[in-house]
Amino acid sequence: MQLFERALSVLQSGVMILDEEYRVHFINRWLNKAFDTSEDLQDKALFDHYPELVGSRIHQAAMQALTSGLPSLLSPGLNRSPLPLFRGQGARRERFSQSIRVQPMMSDDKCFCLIEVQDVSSMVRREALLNKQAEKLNQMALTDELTGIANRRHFNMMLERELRRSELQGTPLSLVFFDIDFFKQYNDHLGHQAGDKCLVAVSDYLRTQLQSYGYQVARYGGEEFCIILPGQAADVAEHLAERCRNEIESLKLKHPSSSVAPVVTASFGVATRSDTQPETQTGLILRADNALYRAKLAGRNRVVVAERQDKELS
Amino acid sequence: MNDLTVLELDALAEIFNISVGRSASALSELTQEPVTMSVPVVHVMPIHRVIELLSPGIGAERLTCVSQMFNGSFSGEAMLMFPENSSLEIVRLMLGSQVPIEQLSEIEQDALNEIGNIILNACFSTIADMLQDTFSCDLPELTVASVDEILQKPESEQTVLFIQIQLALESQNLEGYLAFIMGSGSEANLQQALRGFLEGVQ
Repeated sequence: MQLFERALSVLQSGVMILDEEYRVHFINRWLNKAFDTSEDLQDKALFDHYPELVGSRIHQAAMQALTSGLPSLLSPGLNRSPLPLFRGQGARRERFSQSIRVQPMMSDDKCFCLIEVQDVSSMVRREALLNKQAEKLNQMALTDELTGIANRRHFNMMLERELRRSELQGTPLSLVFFDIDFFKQYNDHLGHQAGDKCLVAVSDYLRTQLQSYGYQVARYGGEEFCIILPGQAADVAEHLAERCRNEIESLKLKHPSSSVAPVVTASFGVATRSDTQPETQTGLILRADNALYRAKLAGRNRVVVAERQDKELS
Repeated sequence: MNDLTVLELDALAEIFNISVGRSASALSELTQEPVTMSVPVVHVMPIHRVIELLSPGIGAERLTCVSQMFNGSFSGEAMLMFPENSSLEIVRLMLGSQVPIEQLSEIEQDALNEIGNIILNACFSTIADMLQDTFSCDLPELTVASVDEILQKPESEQTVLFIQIQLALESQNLEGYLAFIMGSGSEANLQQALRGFLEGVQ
């Protein structure tokens, strides 16, 4: 056997040459073995042997090579496994993803086409894995690790989106900021693990409650949380904040070092972007935060609504 | 070369319209999505004019380019170009990816290469049929680079058949460009072949 023939016979990818009648003029060992048949495909008419391939992309590519002299590429993304090729033995036998090139060749004034096949299953598998990891990382980047709710980065993205939408649609947008009263003292007195549990209890409870309204609660910082209410004006936001305040108090989580109540409570600040006045993200957050601060000053465990932006006119 | 006549330009436009029509069917079959393509205009101009035409619209964005060298009575380099963002969109729609992609992975590059190959092959086989010619060409190659890098050739006076194509896919309209950069001597042969075709039609 010539050196070239031997090289083709030990090649770890597929080589096949078809003549003008789509008969297998040559097929190397690797490819012969990969076809799901114990027969030798040498000299067989390929599309008689595999009638399901008639009209398929590989058939069209072979036709284009033989009749028009044009080469083709069959990529795994668009053609997962154009030929019935298998790898593995017994129970682990599976059809594999392929990358195929078809090129025209001339010999003695006769047309042939060369079909080159590669097994790309590991590349396909690796890319699927990378995609899944990328998705997971995206998710992680937007989630607060302790509570599982949205983190500040996610909150900022959501607020930006909702602010833009409210400007475009001419609808109001409300923001509620709240934080747990005397949380530092809670941690100092009962320990950080208990503090964590308290945060999780509050966020879990509110997350489920608010979900039914379609609102998202996010963790802005240590013991500070926020809620975005798209399309809602100050009265609705105030009402919701009051409900949340009540629910947190009703959780009856014992708080021995709070000078406001024997249980965990929270203070709330509400700010609304009016449907007529433009406002920046920072502006809205500052007003909500300021209202929260005034709630603290006024004795905690209460809701304070920020003044209207255009109040100076009245 | 002498300027092509209006009739000759029309004949070219018709040839390319048929070509992209055929490739649209092939792409529809491949992706199981309705794909339509059309060719608004065919221009004949030197390369530097093409760069001038494309640069303002593209700006700093890169182009994705699938190219195939070809040989026949006229020879040169055939290219299919899309602005990088459009090619990301095409690949996303055709591969059905859920995750928005910012860069082309290996699988996505191969897919774009195949899409370019299908469109360019359809052009060659239609031109070959209509102008009674045969072509051979190389396998497609994919590059992602700026307008200048892709179209910077040793001879900036080389003639280019420059074609804008509209690709409609899943209610998105994307614009791409076909460029056939002709080797010297090829333009005269092309003109002759077009004359022969028109005479045959008459």
